[in-house]
Amino acid sequence: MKNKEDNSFLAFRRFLFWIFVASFFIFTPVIVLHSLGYKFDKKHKIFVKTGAVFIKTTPAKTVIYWKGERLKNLSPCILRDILPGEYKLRIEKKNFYPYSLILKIKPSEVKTVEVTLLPKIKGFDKADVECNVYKFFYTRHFFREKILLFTSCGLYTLSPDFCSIHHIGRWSLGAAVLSSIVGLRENNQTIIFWSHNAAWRITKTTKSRSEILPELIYKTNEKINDIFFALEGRYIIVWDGLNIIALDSRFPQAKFNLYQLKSVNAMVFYSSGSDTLYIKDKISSNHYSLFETKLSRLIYGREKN
Amino acid sequence: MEEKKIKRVLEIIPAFFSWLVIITFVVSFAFWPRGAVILLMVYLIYWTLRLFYMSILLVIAHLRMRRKRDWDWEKIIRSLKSSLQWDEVMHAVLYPVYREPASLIVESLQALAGVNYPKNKIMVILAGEERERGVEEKLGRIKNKFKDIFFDIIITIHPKDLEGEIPAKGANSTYAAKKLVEYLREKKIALEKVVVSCFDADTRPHQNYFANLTYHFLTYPKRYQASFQPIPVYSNNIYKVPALARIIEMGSTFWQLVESMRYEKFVTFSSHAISLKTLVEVDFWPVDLISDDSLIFWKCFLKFRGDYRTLALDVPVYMDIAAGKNLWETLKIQYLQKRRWAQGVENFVFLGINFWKDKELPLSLKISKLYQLLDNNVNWATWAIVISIISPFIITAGNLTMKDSLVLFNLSYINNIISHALVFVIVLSILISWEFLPLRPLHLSRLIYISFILQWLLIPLVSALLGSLPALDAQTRLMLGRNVSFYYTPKGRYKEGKREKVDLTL
Repeated sequence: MKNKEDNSFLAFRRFLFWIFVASFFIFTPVIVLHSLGYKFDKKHKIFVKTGAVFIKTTPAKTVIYWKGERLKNLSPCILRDILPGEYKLRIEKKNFYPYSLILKIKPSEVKTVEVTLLPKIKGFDKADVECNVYKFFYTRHFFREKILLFTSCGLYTLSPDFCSIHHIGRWSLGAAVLSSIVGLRENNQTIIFWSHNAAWRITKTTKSRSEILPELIYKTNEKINDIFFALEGRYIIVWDGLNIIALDSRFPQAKFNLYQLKSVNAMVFYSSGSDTLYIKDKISSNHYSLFETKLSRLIYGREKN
Repeated sequence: MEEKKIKRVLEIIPAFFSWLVIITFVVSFAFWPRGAVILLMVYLIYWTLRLFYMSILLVIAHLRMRRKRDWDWEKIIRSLKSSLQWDEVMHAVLYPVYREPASLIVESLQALAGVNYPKNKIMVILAGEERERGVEEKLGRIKNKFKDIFFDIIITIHPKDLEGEIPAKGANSTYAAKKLVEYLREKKIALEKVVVSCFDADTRPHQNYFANLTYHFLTYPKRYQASFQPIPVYSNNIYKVPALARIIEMGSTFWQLVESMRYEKFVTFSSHAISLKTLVEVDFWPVDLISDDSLIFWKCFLKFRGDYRTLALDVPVYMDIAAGKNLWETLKIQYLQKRRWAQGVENFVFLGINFWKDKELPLSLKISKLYQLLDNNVNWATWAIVISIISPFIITAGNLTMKDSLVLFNLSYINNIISHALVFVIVLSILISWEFLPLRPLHLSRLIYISFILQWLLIPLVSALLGSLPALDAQTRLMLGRNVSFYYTPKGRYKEGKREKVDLTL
């Protein structure tokens, strides 16, 4: 009787033991590989290395949009099995301004996103740009109005009602440069922006790009007061201190003085419609007057010479 | 010479593997953190599955004991048909004592006098040590109190400094057992009809202990090739000791319950019983080694060529939790006691040497038994250190140095899941430990039960401090060849720092 009881219990124990052994050898590799980020891609029938995102917000229980799709989970939450790449994340909560960002996910890495949402100020809308905004310019080109934002993440264009936003691209301009920008001009092909002693140009393109490389077209020890497009963009006119300088759009290094002002209190304005350059300048010690000329005459006259 | 070398190698092996486990984690984290994290993950999964497996065995063992403990075993053995009749069996209860207060021994004998078994079938041997001053007088007074209750009470005084012996319990027990043999021969009582229960001074058997023991002795076909092991429950003074000591001793009970389910690996521990005939055949307990309680099993195992087992009794014996006057002293006593228990690692050396000498035992048996001992000892010395100390260290340090690593992130996540899953094990421990609680003394408030529940939160600390660390200490000392003397655990009841007085009247 004792032996029978022993034997049947031994059989049960052995069965239990081997169940646990099998569980160990089956589950351990699965858990370890999953922890390392490996996921079986059923479509391509290969193992791919994934990453993860840990989203933590203040306040908690925010709605999360991942790749434009609303997720079931509220924050804080962990998103697993994410293939490496760039993804758009948006976090929303009632009475708070939404927060968006682009995340770059690397294999076997967990990206921690800690976000503090800004409570909404009554009556105010916030631009859906999470980068540090240094400057903005309201531009009107033909009948199109838009806002150009100079941010730490690059250049954005924003519709005046904040409804649409477009990220033109990232750049490597530093905070010091971005903070110093004082003016902007735009035409069909180009955006020019300048600080007190340098000017850059970005050529517009219909293709989207990840990085913008602003071209430094002008540098001075004086002070840039204004810049104009002239002669349908063929020339760029720079009012630099006491000088009015023309730059050839195609070869900005080729520059020449158009006019030397007599006073630092002079004023210059160019009307591209009539191709007229207006200058207020000193004519005697305390006397200023307004002058006008056709820019083309100045430039082509100069060229002839 | 060769035997000496083999002995030395065997002494090094357990500590070598224990330290290897610990150092592997630490070193791999320093040089390959990701690898350490993966290793830790595998280790945690292994231990979680192992704990769940052991929990199932614990529940089964507990239910079995609960079901059978209170049967009318006396009635069962009276109706047994066996080659040996129950009333032919004599029980000899051996109490090796050394510096235990008389009050403690009296309480143990009072409990013995209260068992459901004819007392004229029980003889008591009070085995004192010559090195204890006044022991003869002390034991004489105790004998006078109980002389008319049992078949007889024999007092033996083990001489000190006998050649080839170390001052340890095994030497005393062996001396007393030899005196018992002489006594029985004089009384013309056949040795094969005597079962010796070797108790500690504080051991109080369950009232069905002898009936249950007799049952197993009579019904097991190879009664002279078996030891009989009751489950030790440390509850005599459970309301008087700190929580740290309570849970570590309860852990010992749980371990014995689990081991009782793995009967092919079950080894005698602490209070146990064995036929006197078998004891004589194997030349009694070892007199020159510390862990006499487990070594006697291995001596028998070798004697009977592996055809020897330990049978789990269905009843417990109740013992004291080793404690001191205050928390610090209790911690010290507990640590030293656990280190002494862990000195059972010498069984590995003993077995290894004997296996090496024995060319006839099957190699598979030798390997399996050596592996069993090595596995037990290495796990004992490492599991709590890895889980309670190294694991949190790796997770914390990893969060500082490799915070973006997905595998570390998932390790924290898995650790969290395992901790939640192990709540089940803690709840189980609380429920089972509740069964072993004696009646609450009236002067204690019911609020004490809150501490009995909350105490299990100390598991991570206690298991490392009083579980793995003493085991690692004992193994390391063996590896370094440092001899450790037998630690006599002081037994005594304390109340407000003073030893309690016990009513000695019956």
